[in-house]
Formats: sequence, structure tokens, C-alpha cells
Amino acid sequence: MKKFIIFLLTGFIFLAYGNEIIIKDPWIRAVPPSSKNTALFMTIVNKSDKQDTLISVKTDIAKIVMIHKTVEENGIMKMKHVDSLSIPPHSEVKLKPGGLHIMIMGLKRPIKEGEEVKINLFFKNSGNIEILAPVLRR
Amino acid sequence: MKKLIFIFVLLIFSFSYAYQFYGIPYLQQVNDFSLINQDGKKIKFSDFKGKYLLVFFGYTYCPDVCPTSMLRISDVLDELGDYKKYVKVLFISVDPERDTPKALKKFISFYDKTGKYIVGLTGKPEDIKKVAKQFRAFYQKVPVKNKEVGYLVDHSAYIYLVDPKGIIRMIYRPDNDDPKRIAEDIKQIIKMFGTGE
Repeated sequence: MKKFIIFLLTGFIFLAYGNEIIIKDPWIRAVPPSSKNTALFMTIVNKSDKQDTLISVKTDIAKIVMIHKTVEENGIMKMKHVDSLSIPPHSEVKLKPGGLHIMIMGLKRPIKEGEEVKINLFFKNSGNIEILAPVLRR
Repeated sequence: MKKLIFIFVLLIFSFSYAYQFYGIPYLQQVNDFSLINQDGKKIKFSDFKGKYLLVFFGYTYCPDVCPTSMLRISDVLDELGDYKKYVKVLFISVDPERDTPKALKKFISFYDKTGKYIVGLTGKPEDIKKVAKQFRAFYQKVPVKNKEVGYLVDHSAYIYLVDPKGIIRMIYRPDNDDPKRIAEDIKQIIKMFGTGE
């Protein structure tokens, strides 16, 4: 019985650690009230021993949310669609202006500087992670 | 004319010893053109003679690059302090089909609440094309699967510094966008070549 409890406990600990995705400093860029598009930036930290993958992102404020990467080619800024985003174990991936970002397209209403927007991030292992991202002018 | 260019280049290089420019030195006369401003009025490039200009090509639907650059430009204006009055910003649309004067007005007022410093320019697609060619600016529509978004526009994202005579003096690459340093360049150039007034 003791063995079984220990086995169960280690299993739980393993599970808890296995899902350890932390979202640091999420923010949405404040854009003019007339703008239909904006972007979400953040740092995704994977503290677990397993690779995790960001599969999709959802928010109520926009019609479409996609993972994108801005790439510079000979001075031309190009948008590349990324199907999913892998976060290797014990590492972090930074989403920042001019690089990887979550593109929020077709805003249903204007977003205001200072407001917090609910975002759902869906990871392959960790499942749904809900965050509040402030709208910042930066 | 060649002699004149040589002297200008020499001047820039000799001053560079005293002050290291942040931008990439450039020298090119921009020929006059006319486009439509945010109030729907026809406006000529030569109407801005006498002012230092920061020129940027972008579009109001732009999700990442243009908002970043426009915020930096807005910060440059703040950093300029007393020198701000010698400078205007031209935001030239590379998406004239969607960027109506009204849309431009709403867009630029977010980055310049006073409405005094940033000018939005749009026009016929063929006119925009000619202007972009002069600045060697590139843009291309990229369709997006979702019909509601329609398309995005890949584009070059340089900030051009034009002097009061309509000559491009400096270029800033997208990763060269420190507002303090761009403002310092502008101050130095104004000190060298005068206010233009």
C-alpha cells in the first residue's frame, strides 16, 4: 500500500512538473481605435523536462488569432504564418515586436490602453492556459 | 552638380569624426510629387520644403511593423524638444485601396495628438508606386486565407530623413530605431545645415 501511495505521489509530482508552462509579461500593443489588427507579445517559459507546443490562441475581442513571425529580408518586413510554436524543455521563447508574435486580426471593438484582455493559449501537453494581457503603448 | 555632391559627402564624413551618426548616411534628391493628405486635400512634396522630414511607408492595417515604427517616430518627436518645430513626419500608405484619407486621419492622430507634426498621405495606386520607387521602397500584397482580413502588405520599413531641400540624408533600418539616437542625429544635422527656415 505504501509503495502504491509513493507511486501515486511521484506520479502527481511528475504530472505537475510536466505541465509547467509559465507566461511572462504578456502585453497587447495599443493601436489606433480605427485599426483592425494588433499583436500579442510575451515570453513563454517551459520549466518541464518535456517539449511543449503552442497550438492555437483564442480571444473574444478578435475574429482571427494566428501565430506569426516578422522576418526581414533585404530590408523588407515579411509576415510568415507559423503553424505551431515549440517550446523546448527548460527554455523560453520570446515573442517580441519585429519577431515572433501572436497576430490578432479583425478586432471586434477598439481596444483601450490599460485594459486587460483575456487570452486562451492552447498547448499540446499543458492544455488551456488563460492569461490576462494588458494593452500597452510601447 | 557632381562637385556639390562631393563637397556634401566630404562634409558629412568630416563631421562624422566629431559625431558618429546612428543612421546610414545617404544622399539623394527627391523629385516633386503630389498625393492626397488625411483631409482629402491634394498636397505636393515641395509644400514641405523648409522642413526636415521623417518619411515612412506603411499601412493602417499593419499589425506589427508599422505600429512599432510609428510609436518610435512619435517618441523621436518627443525627444526633439525645441527642435520639433523644424520637423514633419510623412506616413505614406502602401495600401491606398483601404487607406482612405479618413482612415489615415484616425491612424495618425493616435501617434500625434496635436495633429501638427504627422501627415498621412495616400493617393492613386499608380501615384504611390511612383513615389515609392523614388525612395526605393518596396511593397507587395500578401493574401491571407481568411476572407475578412483579405490581405496584408509586405513592405520595406526604413525611416528616411529628408532635409529642407528635399534631399534624403539618412536612412534608418527597422532595427535601428532607438528614438533618442534618431533625435540626436536630427539635432546634429540641423546644427550643421541649419533649420531650413
